[in-house]
Amino acid sequence: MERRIPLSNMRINLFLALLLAATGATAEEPREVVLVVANESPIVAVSSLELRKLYLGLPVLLDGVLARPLRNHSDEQLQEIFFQSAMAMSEAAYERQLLSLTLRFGRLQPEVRHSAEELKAILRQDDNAITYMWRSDISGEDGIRVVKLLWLEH
Amino acid sequence: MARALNTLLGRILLFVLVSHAVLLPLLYLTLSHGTRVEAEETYLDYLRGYSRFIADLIENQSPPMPDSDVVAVMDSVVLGHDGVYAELRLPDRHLRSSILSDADEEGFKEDFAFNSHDDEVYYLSMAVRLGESEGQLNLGFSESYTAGEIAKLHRQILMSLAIYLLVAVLISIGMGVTLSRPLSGLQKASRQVALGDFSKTLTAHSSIAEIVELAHDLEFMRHELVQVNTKLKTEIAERQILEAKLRHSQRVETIGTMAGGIAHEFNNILVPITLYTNVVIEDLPEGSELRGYLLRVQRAARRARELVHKILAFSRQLEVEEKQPENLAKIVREATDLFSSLWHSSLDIKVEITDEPCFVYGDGTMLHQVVLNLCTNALKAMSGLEGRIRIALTTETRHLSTALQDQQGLGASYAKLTVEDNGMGMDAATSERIFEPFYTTRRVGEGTGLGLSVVHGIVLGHGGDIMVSSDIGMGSVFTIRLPLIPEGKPILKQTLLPT
Repeated sequence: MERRIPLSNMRINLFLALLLAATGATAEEPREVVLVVANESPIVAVSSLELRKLYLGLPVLLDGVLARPLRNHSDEQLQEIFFQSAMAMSEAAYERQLLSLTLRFGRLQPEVRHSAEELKAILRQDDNAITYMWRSDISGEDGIRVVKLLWLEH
Repeated sequence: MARALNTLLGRILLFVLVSHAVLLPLLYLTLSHGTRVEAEETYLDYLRGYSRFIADLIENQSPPMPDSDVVAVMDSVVLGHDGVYAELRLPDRHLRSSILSDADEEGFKEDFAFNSHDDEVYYLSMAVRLGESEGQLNLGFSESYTAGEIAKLHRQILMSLAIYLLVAVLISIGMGVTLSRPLSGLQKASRQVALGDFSKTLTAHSSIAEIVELAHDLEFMRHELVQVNTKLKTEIAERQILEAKLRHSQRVETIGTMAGGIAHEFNNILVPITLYTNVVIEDLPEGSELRGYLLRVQRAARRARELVHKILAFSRQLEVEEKQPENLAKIVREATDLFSSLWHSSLDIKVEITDEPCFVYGDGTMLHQVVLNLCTNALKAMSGLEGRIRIALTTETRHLSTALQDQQGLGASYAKLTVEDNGMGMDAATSERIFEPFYTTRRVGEGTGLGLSVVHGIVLGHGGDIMVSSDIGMGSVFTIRLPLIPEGKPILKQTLLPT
């Protein structure tokens, strides 16, 4: 005889399991800063060197497309982590270097955006766009995927 | 303390100290903050670049670097300058520098600013891909050396500022002394001037233009003050002399008026006495006893007339009938020749008469009497003494403006007759009264006390003046000034005196 579980009980169990998973993830998972692109973007992988070139205004072809870097100014700590871990310099040194390269080679500076939501909207519209943000900012977001882990909290 | 602060040096020093007490801490804070931030940022940028270089070294190898080589690279980091920690965390494994102990792992706390965790180690992590695995390269570098260098830099700044403060204080002291020394000199000199020492010049030994100009201005003021003071003293002395002269003249004038009046009346009384005595004498026979008595009356009346004549001369009421241009030099020479009969052999009498024309408008007989009276007076002052009499006649010319200020109205040119003796002299009270009629210091019978009164009356009657200076035991000097005229012509007073 087949024993059937009532649908209402299944729903309650599923809800409790999801709640437990959600609360557990929030409390234990270390924070991460990740490099993200749109799901439809042809960009698959970005090396550390390519990333630095990209954000210093140099033209970089990533998987056949000319990437469009975007700076995320939505969070100050995110900025600090990005400049130290990814660019390996202070923000002041980065700005100096960027200005120097712009003046010497006439490169375009990466666009600056002050909102994570705005950045996500751009990523969805432009397959060549690439930016960095907290992993928590893209959890559950459709149409955006991670291409590189930039920083992992200890 | 308050007195010291109120000096120029004190104020400059106080200003420098207060301003530096406010500014130096600000300067120190600004400099120390700027140097600290700059040093920290420079060091951290170096660490970030170096860490990225290590991460790239591990990441960009083909084929991927084996774990043993990764550990060797991390050992190199720890052995290198300031390196204290190195590990690579991959999803499937954990590689650490072989030099580190297990306890070192506990200390990793990622930093984003210098000395943010007070552990004197700067920890940072870099994303690394090793083969197909993505991981984190965690490195740690000692902050001690850089912190020590920053502290050293701060000490150097502090020392520099202390030296700067010391130099500023020394400069301010030097400046204060440079400014205050010449001013103190000026102050001392001006104080002496204020106390009456006008000989002290107000000068400042300084190269500062303002102080030099101040000294020049003060010296100019002192010079003006000295001149004004001298002029004032002279004017006061002149005024005192004039007042004394005025008092004396008024007294003599009063006495003269009174004596003149009496003399006139007395003369009127003498007229019938003399007239009728002469008539009676003519009627009496020669040798009669009565005639002898009347002759005595006649002689007495004659002496009385002479006395009256002298009194009238003093009071300038004597009618001058023969006033005309007279050569005063000739009169003085004749009078002194006449006087020579009275010279005592033991006296040194010296006569000096100018060769210049010396014409005055007056009565020759009266002027003659003036010279004789003065000489007689001098001779009597020398009585019984061995001494010297000097009689001098000179002419003097003065500026017209000076002449106009002279109340005597002597004019620009005048004759000056000086009779000087070194006899017994007089005190001031005696000098004051010698021109009064019947005033004498001699014994009764040795003089009438009218000689100098007559001189005074005649001189003033000729538009001149007479002065005497005398000290007891030092002799006397009588000076007579009479207005000169061109040879043979009288000078009208109106041409010299202000209207």
